Amino acid sequence: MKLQTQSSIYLSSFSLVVFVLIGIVLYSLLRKLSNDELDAILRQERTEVLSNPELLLIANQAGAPFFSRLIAREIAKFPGDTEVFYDSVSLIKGSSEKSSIRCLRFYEIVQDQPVEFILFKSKLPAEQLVQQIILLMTLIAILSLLGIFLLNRFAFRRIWRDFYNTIQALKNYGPNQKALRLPGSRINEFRTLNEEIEKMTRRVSDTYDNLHNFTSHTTHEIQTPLAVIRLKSELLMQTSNLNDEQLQLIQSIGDNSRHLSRLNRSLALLFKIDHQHYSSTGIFYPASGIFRQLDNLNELIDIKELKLATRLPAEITVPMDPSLGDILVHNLVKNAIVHNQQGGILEIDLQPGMLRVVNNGPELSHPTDHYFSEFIKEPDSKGLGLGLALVRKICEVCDLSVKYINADGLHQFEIHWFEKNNKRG
Amino acid sequence: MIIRLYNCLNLAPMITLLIIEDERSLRESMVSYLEPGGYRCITAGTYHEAMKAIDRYDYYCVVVDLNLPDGDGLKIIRLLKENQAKCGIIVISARDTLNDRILGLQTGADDYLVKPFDLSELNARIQSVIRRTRYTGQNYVIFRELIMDPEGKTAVLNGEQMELTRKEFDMLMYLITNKNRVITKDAIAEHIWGDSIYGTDYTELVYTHMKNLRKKLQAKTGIDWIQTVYGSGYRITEER
Repeated sequence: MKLQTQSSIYLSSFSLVVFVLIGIVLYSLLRKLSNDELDAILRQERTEVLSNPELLLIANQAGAPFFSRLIAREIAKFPGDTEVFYDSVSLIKGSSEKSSIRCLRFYEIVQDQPVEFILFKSKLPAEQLVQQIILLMTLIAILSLLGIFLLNRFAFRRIWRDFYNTIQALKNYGPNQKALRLPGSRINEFRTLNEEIEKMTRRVSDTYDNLHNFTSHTTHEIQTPLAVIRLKSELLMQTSNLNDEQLQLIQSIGDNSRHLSRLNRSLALLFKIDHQHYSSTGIFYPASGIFRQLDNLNELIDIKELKLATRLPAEITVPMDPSLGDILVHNLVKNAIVHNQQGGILEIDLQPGMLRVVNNGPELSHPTDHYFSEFIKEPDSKGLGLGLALVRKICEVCDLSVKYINADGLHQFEIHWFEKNNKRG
Repeated sequence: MIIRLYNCLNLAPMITLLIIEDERSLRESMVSYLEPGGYRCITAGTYHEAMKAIDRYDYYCVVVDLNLPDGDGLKIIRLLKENQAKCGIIVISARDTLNDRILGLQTGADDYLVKPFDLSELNARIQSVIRRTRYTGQNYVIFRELIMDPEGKTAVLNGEQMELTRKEFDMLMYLITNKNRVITKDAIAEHIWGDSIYGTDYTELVYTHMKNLRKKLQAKTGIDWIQTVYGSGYRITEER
């Protein structure tokens, strides 16, 4: 959820609660005021009624001045000079609807006879007034809420503008870029944030530069001694009178230097891909790359008696650097051959926007989400353990998605790409 | 048609190579491997030394490292192309991207070998480049009773055509090119299948092809020309 939305929700909810509470308090207050007003009128009328004792006698008769608003009833015992105000309802004359009324009950002794009087007055006008006031208040509340909402949006944009600029700058920031230069802010917190981010990116940039230099120097500098070891061991092997043990030792030196230089080259390749040494544009035709690899490794396929099934339309393209594309499909195909079992399945299916490589093979001992990590390989593997790491890295930089699925004992790798630029034949 | 027959070992006149490599150990190793093969090797450790050496001989092939301490190997290639058109050029470089290779070949190199490499591979490339640049037209490689046509990929033994697969032919050619040397299984695998073979179980592949090749040779000669060097690789010898 966006910060602004969250903030609007909080503010609106809070305002709503406040308005509702204000509404309740106001309503109670208005009711009380109108009741007090009515009570005062009723008390006044009581005084008037009492000052005209004859009125009391004709209270219930038609034509009396208080006829409609005074009820008199003889009672047995005089309860004392008390008056009670209360609310009640009465039928509206000539209608079946009921109307609220405010009543005043009091007692008098008229001609030695205790009489209970009830004076009442309709609350309708007062209630209508309260309703109108509440309606007005609701309207004001709604408008205020809307105002708060809009003001919040406006103020939010202004206040948080620096923050969003910082986020945008961070989004565009890559580890291989120089340290970020962020503009100042009038708001202290944002200014501090920007300063801290600048410091942090400076540290990231320095670390990156150091690592970059170290890696590129190491990979380059290591090549020469490795080449020397390899050449010297090859020369040593040519010398006569070597016994079997010595030959094996030399072979072992050669093997390991070969492995090390492969490792070095693959790591350097990973590094180069990671640091945008390859172009981000180009058109790659996967079918031709896959065919080349299948052709090159066809004897391995024969030895393992793999059941090969391919669907490789030549016209399908992937928008990516062709040399990276080659590395990608070569590694995928090689992986599917090398880790296949005797007589296993090897299926390669190329469709617009998708390449799927399926192969049989033993369950691997690593969790599936580790398959694409560096140096993940089975103990007896002769490879470097970098093939799938290269696949993942290439997919990352070329905006392709790669996923691994293990279904029914089949290892399935799928590469997906956005198919906009594909030419279809 | 004049058919030129020549033997890789006894080329006459003496084939002169120029090796431009700043790392002394590498330079010396290359010389140590190549000279017994009948080449005269001139070496240069810097751009300036290379410039001086270029005018001294008519080179059959120049092996040039692109990263020199005082200059760019590509400049040397351009100069060589202008002055010694018939000279083959092989780049040896640690730069291994496709773009680097394309740049090297576009500048005028005939081949591009990524460091580190096998000396046997360098030797094979040198011979291949010399064959292509010097001996245009049909030429053959003769080894004992065997005549091999590198272009047509055919081999004739004792006047009889040999039925070799493409890979058996390449393997035999590689061994003959590096005759009397021990060639490791890894070097053979890399030569035949290229980089992509690494990480696979290629020893069995090499073994199977080698077994078939030996069978075919033995069937015609009665002798096994190819020796297995215990635990390491193979060697083809001229000894009778």
